[in-house]
Amino acid sequence: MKTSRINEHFESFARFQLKHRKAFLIALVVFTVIGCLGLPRLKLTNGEEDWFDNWEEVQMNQDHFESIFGSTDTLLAFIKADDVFDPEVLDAIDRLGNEILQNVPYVESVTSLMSLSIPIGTEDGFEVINPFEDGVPEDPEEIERIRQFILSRESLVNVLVSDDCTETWVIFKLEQYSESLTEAMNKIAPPAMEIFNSESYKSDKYRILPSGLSYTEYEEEKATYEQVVTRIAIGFIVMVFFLAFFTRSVKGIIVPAIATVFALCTTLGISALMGIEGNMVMLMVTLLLAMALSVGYAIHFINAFKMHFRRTGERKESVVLGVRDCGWALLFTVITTMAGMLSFLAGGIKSMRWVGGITAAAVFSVYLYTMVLLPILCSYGKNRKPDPQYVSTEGSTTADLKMEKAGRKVLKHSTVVLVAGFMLMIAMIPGIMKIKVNMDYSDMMGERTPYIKRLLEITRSKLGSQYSYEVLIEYDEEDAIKNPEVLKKMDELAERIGTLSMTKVSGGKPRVKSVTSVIKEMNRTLNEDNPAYYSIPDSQDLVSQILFLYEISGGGDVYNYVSEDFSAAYLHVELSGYDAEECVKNMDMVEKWVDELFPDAKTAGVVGEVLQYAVMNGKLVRGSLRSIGTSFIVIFILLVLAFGSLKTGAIAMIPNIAPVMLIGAIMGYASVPLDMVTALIMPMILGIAVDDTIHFTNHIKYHFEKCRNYRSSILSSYREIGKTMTMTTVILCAMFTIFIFSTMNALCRIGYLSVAGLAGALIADYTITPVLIYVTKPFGKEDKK
Amino acid sequence: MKKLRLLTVSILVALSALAGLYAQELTGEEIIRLAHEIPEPDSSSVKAKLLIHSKKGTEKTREVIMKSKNYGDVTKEVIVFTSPKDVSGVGYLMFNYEEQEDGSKKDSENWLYMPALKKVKRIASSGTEAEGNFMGTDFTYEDMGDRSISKDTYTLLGEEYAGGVKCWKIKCVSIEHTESDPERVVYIGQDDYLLYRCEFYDRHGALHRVLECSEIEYIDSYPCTKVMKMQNVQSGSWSMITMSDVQYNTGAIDDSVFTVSALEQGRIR
Repeated sequence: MKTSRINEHFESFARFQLKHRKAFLIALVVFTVIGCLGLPRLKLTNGEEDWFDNWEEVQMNQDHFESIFGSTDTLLAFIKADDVFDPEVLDAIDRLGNEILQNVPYVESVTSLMSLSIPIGTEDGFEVINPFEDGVPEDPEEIERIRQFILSRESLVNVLVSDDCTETWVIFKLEQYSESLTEAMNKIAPPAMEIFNSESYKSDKYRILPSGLSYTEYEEEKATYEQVVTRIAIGFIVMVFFLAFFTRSVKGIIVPAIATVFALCTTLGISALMGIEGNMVMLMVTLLLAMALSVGYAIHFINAFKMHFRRTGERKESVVLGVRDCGWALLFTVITTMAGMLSFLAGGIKSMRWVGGITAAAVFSVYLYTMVLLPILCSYGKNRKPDPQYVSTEGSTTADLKMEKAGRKVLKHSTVVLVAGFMLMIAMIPGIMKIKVNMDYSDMMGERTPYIKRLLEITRSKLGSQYSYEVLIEYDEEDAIKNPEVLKKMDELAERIGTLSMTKVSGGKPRVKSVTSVIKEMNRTLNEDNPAYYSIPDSQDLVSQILFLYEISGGGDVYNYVSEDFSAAYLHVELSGYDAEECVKNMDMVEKWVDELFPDAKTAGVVGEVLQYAVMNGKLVRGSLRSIGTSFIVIFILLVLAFGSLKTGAIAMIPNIAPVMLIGAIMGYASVPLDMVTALIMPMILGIAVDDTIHFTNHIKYHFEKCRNYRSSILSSYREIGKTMTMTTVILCAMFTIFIFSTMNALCRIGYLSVAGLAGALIADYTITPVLIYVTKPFGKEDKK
Repeated sequence: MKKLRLLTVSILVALSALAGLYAQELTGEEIIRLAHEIPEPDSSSVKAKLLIHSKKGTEKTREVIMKSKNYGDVTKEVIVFTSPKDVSGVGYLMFNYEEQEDGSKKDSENWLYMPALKKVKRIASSGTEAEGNFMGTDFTYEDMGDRSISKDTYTLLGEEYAGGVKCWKIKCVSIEHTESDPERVVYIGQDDYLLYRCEFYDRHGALHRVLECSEIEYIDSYPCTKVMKMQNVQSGSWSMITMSDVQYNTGAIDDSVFTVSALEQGRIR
């Protein structure tokens, strides 16, 4: 279909709209009220379940695990000091233990250097020693004696205290809570935080680094909320600034602001009415994109309107002509941006699907508000005399004329442009091949986030670890775990796991925990503390009695590692870091060993979130490729349909492949991993970047249909919309720049990769698009005359 | 073992000494103090069944034989597990010494016998903390103990029925406030001064556990609470101790029962 024909339809519609402008405004108000009614029902979450499509299955496995072993939530204080046996440090540990016990709900008991009960084998039996029963000794020699005693306990060294005495844990066991994690964390974390941060625990001799599931979840929620609120607030200020700067009109500021706010309110409200839950972090992408596009759409229309208004001085007529010139192109860019966002639906990750869907809806809503409000508001006001300065230039400004001049240079060097563009794209390929998929949560959050920095410090220490997994061994029969053969195989498995690349090793000791260490420790204690007896006894009765003795002596924590009927047990494996590929390899190996060692077990294998994340890696790659592929195909089809030609569609696609390749190359060369968040960028940028191509190509085609000359059409397009393209790109880049200053790595990466992609797209549209059109002549033959 | 016996015999009271007193004239502390002065048998033999109902809904049963004898300066106690099968024969022997006039007290002596080891092991400490679970139940060693009156402050809250018996309701608050359940509300029968119910409140003032005593019988003129159920209302677990074959001051308990060799030879039945 001819572009001029389509534009005529938009022109007719604009006339109709202005004629019934009050009815349009009323309809928009009704729509807004209905949409906003849903807002109170809006539910935004920030849980990990948002990332897993098979969350119910993950939860089922987790529930099964917790039904056997109970909750694993604890509150932890990692103490870092020059010497944790310094009397001041020991005193702080003691005070901290008591204070937390007294003031923090759900805290059941404390395990620390100050509260140890250590059984030690003697000649005729065993002795239970609490080294600090009488408090911190004043005699340094006595402290030294206690230090040596504690360091002689294999179960404590590099578990509770590091062998160099610079690190120790204070572990607060939490009772199983019946309420949700969110409710529990709001009770546990604030009082704990107050104590950890109080002046009485500030010292140059030690530092307290808190952690634990409920504590860090609370911090994450708080940090995320702060990030979201700050970014949105800055985003709004940036939007208003650029609107004021570019449009220099009150209407130009008010309309996009109203359009953004109400478009988001109605979109989110309607989604809430449909019972759709959102994701807090991902919502930022929607909000900032809606703001940026709203500004972009407004500028396109206002510039088109102003151009005619300067020339004719006829307000309503200029509105109509403005809609005629940019209405179709804007609608088409909305469709392609929506297509880019909707391609996330093919991604297979819940929160990606949500952000894709909601952003697509928000983009359409923004368009609706902008194109209803802006022409109507611009139609109000007086006509004025045509500006003689602009009549001769057909409304073009100096900047517009400079754009035309730049266009001449591009066309003059078309061969250079094509060769350079081609070479650059070739250079990007090796970078793209280097992209690594790795969903490291800490890396995504980034060390600039204070609590992540603290957690990473703990992770890098001798005692700490952030990631872990469990190896479950479950039999049908009760007491199966008491079988010495099973226990010995568990030890053998632990030994093999200790050799794996990702298993954390502290002081030469792999961080693999299971019930076997309790049994071996007790066996040694019952045998005069002879190290030769640090082994699994051969007799099942002895194993039973050792476990029984341990339990009735107050060692209820044995059930943290074994089921109450002794039919199931697990190994807890701590990881030295997170490398998804290595994790998957490690876990495959563990699965193989488990099958080999426990062939008659009912269930045996790896469980835990890390496994899910590792599995997600593969899914993410497939999802991202599907998403990018879908967006390419859909946008290509749309371009072909819109321009009515396969050749034109293909030409319009080429400048849009370049920014996507550029993003990929930066990710590869700068070692930015492909994760849940960076996976969003390429399809999103493709959806946005194609806008300028459409505007430009559409404009060229429109002029070509009138003058049948490529050079003239291209130069007219440079003059008429070249400046607008820069303006919209600058605004989009400014919006995404806000992300660059986020303390969260994931958002920071969205920021600079998007800016790079959008800038790359603009350059490609100024160079490759016109040159390709100029060279390939897709709209037909020129008129020689 | 003395601790356990104190609870099984009951925590409580010299009825005759209280005959002329009216409840209104007693303070909470006086009621508790009188309850502590209840006479105890010199020796006892009892079989106990420990039913442990976990928060996950599973149940475990343990059976023990418990014997004790007061020798004046020392109380000797023995506990032998008879069930489940794989721990049958595991036994404890404990000598608890009385406090001297000068306030000093000799450390208790403890031995453990594990049939699978075929050896008696001397334990230099009980190996348990006061707040540790008693034999893996919801009771703590502290609950089973003879808590000193001076450790708490007492407030008589009023009168209330517990287990169908009219009781005094007394709030006991730990002075040190370091225990996991520093506050208790005890229900003591007005007619017999026996403990019928006790509510344990945690450090944050939330109800943590509830003890209910029932089937109280008099054996050889000494009261015996045969069923004690402790419910952890926060976790949902509960434990029940049921006494049977209770014998007081029968004279049938031979001194040789309280020896290491009796444990080793499995002579305690």
